[in-house]
Amino acid sequence: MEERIRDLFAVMLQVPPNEIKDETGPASLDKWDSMQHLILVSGFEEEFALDVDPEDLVEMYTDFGTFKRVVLRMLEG
Amino acid sequence: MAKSVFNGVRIAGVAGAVPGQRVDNLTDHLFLPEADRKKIVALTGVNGYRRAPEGVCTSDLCHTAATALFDGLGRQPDQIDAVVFATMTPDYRIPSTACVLQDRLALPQSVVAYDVNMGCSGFIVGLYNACALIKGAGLRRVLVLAGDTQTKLCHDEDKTVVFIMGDAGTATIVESDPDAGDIVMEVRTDGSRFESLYVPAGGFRRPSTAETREVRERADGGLRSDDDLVMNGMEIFKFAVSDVVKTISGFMEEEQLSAENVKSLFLHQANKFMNDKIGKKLGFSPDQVPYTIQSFGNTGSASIPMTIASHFSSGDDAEAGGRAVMCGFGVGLSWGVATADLTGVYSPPIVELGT
Repeated sequence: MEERIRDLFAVMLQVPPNEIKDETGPASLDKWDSMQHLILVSGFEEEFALDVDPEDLVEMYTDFGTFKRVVLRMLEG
Repeated sequence: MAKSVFNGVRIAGVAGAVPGQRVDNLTDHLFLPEADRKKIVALTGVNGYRRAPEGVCTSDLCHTAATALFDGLGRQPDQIDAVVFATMTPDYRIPSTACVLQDRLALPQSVVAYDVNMGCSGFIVGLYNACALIKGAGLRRVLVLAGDTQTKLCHDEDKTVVFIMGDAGTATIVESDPDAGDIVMEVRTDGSRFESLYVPAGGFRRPSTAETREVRERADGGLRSDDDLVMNGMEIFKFAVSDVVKTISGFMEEEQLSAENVKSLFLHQANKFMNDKIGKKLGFSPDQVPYTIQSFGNTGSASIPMTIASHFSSGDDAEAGGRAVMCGFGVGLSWGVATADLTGVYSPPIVELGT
């Protein structure tokens, strides 16, 4: 599942998956701006039938590791 | 806490006006690839908006709206005791555009006239002023003009704002009525975050110079000068989904309001994805949260009255009116929430200026 999350994340941001590390964040990845973040979350909501809470959405804008952790938590919940 | 209860005041009518010139987010803004344009439109819900051409100011749009409102409501200019003009885009640095509008609208010289320099909370703050003037100063009827031509504040190729911001002007008549219920309002301010949404240069703190007018790509990928509007999108998002939601939620609880006894939630039209989240968080169903963002974008201080006028005049709501909660939030940072019974509020169709 982690790979699937990474792949979708990379495809949506149009960057190679191997460039996405857990510590990769908006500050180190130019394409991950606030608008793209909302597009990303919207895409994940559609792909995994999620409804991301606003607080989680804000937390996900920290780094990929956090993004992935929140998605996994929601999928498990 | 600036929470106030105004008894015996009602909103009599709300009208909106837009420029005739349309911007289509899918076919314009060709500086971004088509795929990106489609994604942004799908997310924000803004298919397009109206842009005021050079020479058309916010005051012109508000003047058009006010004229339509006077005509439709059967009110005369000499029945107005005050005019409050809420905008970020006045005609001049001096004087208050409200003074100019006093003459253009043929309002009597006895009116109180002033501008309120506010953006997305402008309608709520303007309404607050109107209620205070009626209840505190004994005025009978106040004209609140709320509008913005914020496309003029945005660089044409700044992707962070140019897909969202549109131009519109509105007019609202607020009047004393002993039989009316309460208008309850709460206004909040956090100036520590003013740089989340502002124009860095061009004022007296940092006057416009050749350097501030230099356009360059910024860290967020946006192309703009320091004389243009800059928005920290994620900070504004955080603000909206935390501070704004908490304020609305607390206000509704104190006023014993809920999605069950409130008919409509009129939110500032920031972006659809964000507003959907706010509406859902507060327990409202989608049909209780009207939008104009799809056609007009984020119209700053005009967005709430534009949405009311559009919703009530379009026939979307066969029983227009009912208990409403309204919330504006943005530049300042400033935000405010209000509740009023909008039953009987008159709204003519949105007027297009120049068509």
